[in-house]
Amino acid sequence: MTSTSSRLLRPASLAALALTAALLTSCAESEGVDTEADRDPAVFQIGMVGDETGGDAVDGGMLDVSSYTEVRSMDPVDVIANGLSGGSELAAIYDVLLRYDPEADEYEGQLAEGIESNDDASEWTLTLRDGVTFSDGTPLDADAVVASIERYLADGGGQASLWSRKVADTKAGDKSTVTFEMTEPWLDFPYMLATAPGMIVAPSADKGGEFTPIGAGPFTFGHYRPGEELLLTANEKYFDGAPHLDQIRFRTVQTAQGTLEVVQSGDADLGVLREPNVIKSAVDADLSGSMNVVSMGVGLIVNSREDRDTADALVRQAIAHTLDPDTVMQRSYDGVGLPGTEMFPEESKWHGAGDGPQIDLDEAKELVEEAKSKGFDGTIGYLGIQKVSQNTGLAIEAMLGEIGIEVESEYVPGAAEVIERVFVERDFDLAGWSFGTPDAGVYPELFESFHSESTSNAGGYASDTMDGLIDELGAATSEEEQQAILTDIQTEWNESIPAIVFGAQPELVTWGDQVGGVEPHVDSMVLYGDAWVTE
Amino acid sequence: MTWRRGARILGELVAVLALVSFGTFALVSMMDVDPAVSVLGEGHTEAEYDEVRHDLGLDQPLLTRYVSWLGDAVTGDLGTSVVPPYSDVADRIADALPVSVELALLGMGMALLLAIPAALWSANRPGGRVDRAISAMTVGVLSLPSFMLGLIVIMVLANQLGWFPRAQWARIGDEGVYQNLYHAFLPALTIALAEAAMFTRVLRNDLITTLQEDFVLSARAKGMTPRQVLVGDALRPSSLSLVTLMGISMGRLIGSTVVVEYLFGLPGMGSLTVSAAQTGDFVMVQGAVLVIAAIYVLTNAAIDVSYGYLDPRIRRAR
Repeated sequence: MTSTSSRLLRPASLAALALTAALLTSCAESEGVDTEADRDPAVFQIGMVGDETGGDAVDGGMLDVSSYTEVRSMDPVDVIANGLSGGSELAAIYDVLLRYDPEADEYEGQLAEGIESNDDASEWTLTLRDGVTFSDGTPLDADAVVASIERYLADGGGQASLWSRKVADTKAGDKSTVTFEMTEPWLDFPYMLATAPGMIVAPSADKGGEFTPIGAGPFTFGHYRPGEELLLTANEKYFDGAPHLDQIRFRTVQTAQGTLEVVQSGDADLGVLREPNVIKSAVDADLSGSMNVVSMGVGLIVNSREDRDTADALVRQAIAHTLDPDTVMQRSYDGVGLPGTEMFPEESKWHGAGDGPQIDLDEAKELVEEAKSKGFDGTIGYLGIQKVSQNTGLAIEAMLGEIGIEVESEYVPGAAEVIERVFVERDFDLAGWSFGTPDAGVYPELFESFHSESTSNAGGYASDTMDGLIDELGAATSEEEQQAILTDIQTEWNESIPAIVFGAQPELVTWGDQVGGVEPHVDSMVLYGDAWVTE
Repeated sequence: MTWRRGARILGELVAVLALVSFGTFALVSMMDVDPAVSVLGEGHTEAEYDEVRHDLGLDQPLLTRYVSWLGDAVTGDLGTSVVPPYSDVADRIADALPVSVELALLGMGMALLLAIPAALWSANRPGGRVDRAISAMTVGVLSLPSFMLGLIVIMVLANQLGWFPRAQWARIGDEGVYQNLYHAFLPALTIALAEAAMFTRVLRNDLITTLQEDFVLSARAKGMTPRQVLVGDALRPSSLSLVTLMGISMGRLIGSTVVVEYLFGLPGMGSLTVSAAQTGDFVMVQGAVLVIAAIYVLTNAAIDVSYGYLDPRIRRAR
C-alpha cells in the first residue's frame, strides 16, 4: 500500500523524507508472507503481545534494535517522536517528562515527578524530581525545562504550532515547578510532555554553535554512523539508577520481512514492524511485544483546493462511497489488516464515534452525474510511487471506473517526489497517505491534518464546521465530551470527506525471549531505561 | 610502462572524470526532488523555499555551480550534505567505501575460487558430462536476478540453517576480523555466485581455444600431464578475457551492489548513493558518483596495464 504519512512527515527536516521512503518501500505489496483474509481482532489489539519474557533482570550486555527507520537527527526539534521515526531512540537519550501507560490509558511521572491541572484543565503544574541532572552534570530544573521548550518552539519543532496555539505561557516557579497556562482548557496536554516537547535538551547542547545530544535519559549518545548504526551507552548518572544494559545499538533492515527475520534469528533482539501481514506472522510465531493501532493509518489524501476537481464535495463523496477498503487491503496486504471507512476502528477507544461513509455504488453514480452536470469532466488523477503503489492504483482505477470517473494514474520515482507534489506544487487530486492517529493524540493529529489554520493541512481541506469541532475537541474537559465531539466530527467527515480512509494501521514493537523490561509508551514508542537482555 | 603511456592514461582518466562529473551534475540538477523541500520539510511558503534554494546556490546557472563545485572537489572538499544528518560528504564516503570495496574484493575472490576450478574441469573435456552440468548451472545462476540469489542464500544459509547472520554489517575496528567476515560472507557469496557463473563461461571458452594452440600441443608432446598443461601452460594466456571482465566487474560492483546492500542492510556506496538520490541530497550524489567513477576508471587502467604482464606478445607489441 502506498501511504505517505503525514504523521511521519511533519518535521522541518529530511528525517521524515527518508523515513517515508522506508515506509513506502516497506508498504509495497506483500512480501510472501502466509496470509488469511480480513480483520483478525485476536491479532491486532492494543497492548502487550505474547508472554512475559526475558527471565530475571540481568546487568550488562548490548540490546540490538532493528528500527523501523533510521533516525537522522538527535535533536527532538527535527524528529517526530513516535516509535517509527526515532522517538524511542531519542527517549533513551533525553527520557520524557511523563510516561503514558497504554494499558491503563493514563500518564504518570517519568523524568518529572508528576503533573496536575486545575479543575478545567486550563492550567497545568509540572513537578520535577529533585537532584536530576543531565549527563553532563548540569541540573535538570525548572529553568532547564522552560529553556528546552522555548528552544523547541523557536526552532519550529513538529508540534510547535499546536503548542503556540494552545499554551499561553510557560513559567518556571521554584526550581522544581513549571506551570503551563493554556489559552483554553486542554485535557490532553500531558500528551505533549510525553512526546518531543517533553524530551528535555540540556542548555549546554547548543554551546559552540553545533548541536550535541545531551539529555538526562538512561543512555548517552555514543556514535552515529549514517546508514549504519546509532550506538548509545549507559548513563551511570541516570536519576533512577544506571540502566541494566551497557549499550543499545539501533540499526535498520530495509524490509519488514527482513526485520522479522533478524528478530527471529536472534541477530536483533527487538524490531519495529508496521506491515499487517508481517505483524501477523510475528504474532503467529509467538513473539512478544507491544502493539499499537493507529486510526486512519491507511488511506488517501484528497486535494480539496478550489482549482481541483476534487474540490467538489460531490466528487469526494462519490469517491468515498466507491473505494472499498477490503479490495484495497487485498491488493496491498493480501487481505490482512484492519479495513474500514470509519475514522476510529473497533480497536480504538474512540470507536463509538460512528460509521464512516458506506460503500454504495448507486449513490456514487448519482453523485457523479450531479457533479458532471455542474461541470465536472469525469477525470481525476491518482499520484503514486512507481512499482510500490501500482496495484493500489489499478484497484482505484477499476473501482472508480465503475461509477464513471476516469482515473489518470501517475507514478513518480519515490516518496520525495510525492511530497514535492503534495506540499509544494499541490498538484494532485488523490495520493496514497496515512493520517495515523494514535488514541492518545487524537486532537493534535486532527488539528494538524484537517484544521484550516494548520500548516500541515496538505489536502487544503477547509471547513468552518470542522474547524469549530476540532477546536471544541481541543477544549473538551472530559472524555465523554471528547467522544461526543468525535461523533459530530465523524458526521461532518461523512458529509465533507476531508480524506479517504481505508483502515487502521497496526504497529508492533516485537522482541525475542532474551529481552525483558521494555516499557511501552505513547505513539508506539518504548522506553529502555529498565530493559535487559540475557545472552 | 613508458612515461608517455602513463601520461596518456592519466589524461584519459581526467577527461573521463570531467565528463562523468559534469554529466552527473547535469542529471542531478534535472531530478524532480527539490532539495529545498528536503531541507525545510512541509508546509512552508514559496518564498521560504526560494530562500533555501538561494542559500544552496540553486538559483545560479548550471555551469557556474559546476565550476564552483569542481574547484572545491579538486582540493578534496566534496561539500556537506544538504539534508540531515548534515555530514561531510568525504567522511560519509570514507565510511561507505571500505564496505563496498571489501564486499567487491571478497565477492571477486570467492567468484575466482569457484570459477577457475570449474572452468578448468569443463575445458578438460569439452562437451563431456561435467562440462554440460557446469554449463547448465552457470546458465541457471545467470538467469536469476541478484535479489533472487540473495533471497535464496538468506533463506537457506541464514533462516533455515542459521549458519550466518541474516543482515547487518560488523566493522573490523569495532568487532574484529572474525565478526566482520562472518557478517560479510553471505552478501559476498551472493555477489560471487553471479560473477562466478560469468567468469566460468568466459574462462572455459578461452581455455578451450588456448588448448588448440601450437605451444600447448608442443607441451603435450613433451609428455606433460593434462593437469600440468591446463594449469601450467594454458591458464595464464587464457586469462585475458577473465581479467578484463574482472576489471569491469570490480568497478561496477563498487557502486552497484545496491540490491545486495539493501537485502543485507549494509552501509556501502550503493546504499549511500540511492538514499541520497531519494532525499534530494545532490551534493552527496555528486561526490559519491565521482568517487565511483574514479575507481572504475583507475581499475580499468590497471587492468589495461596488466595485459602486458599476462601475455608477453602484447608487451612486445607495445
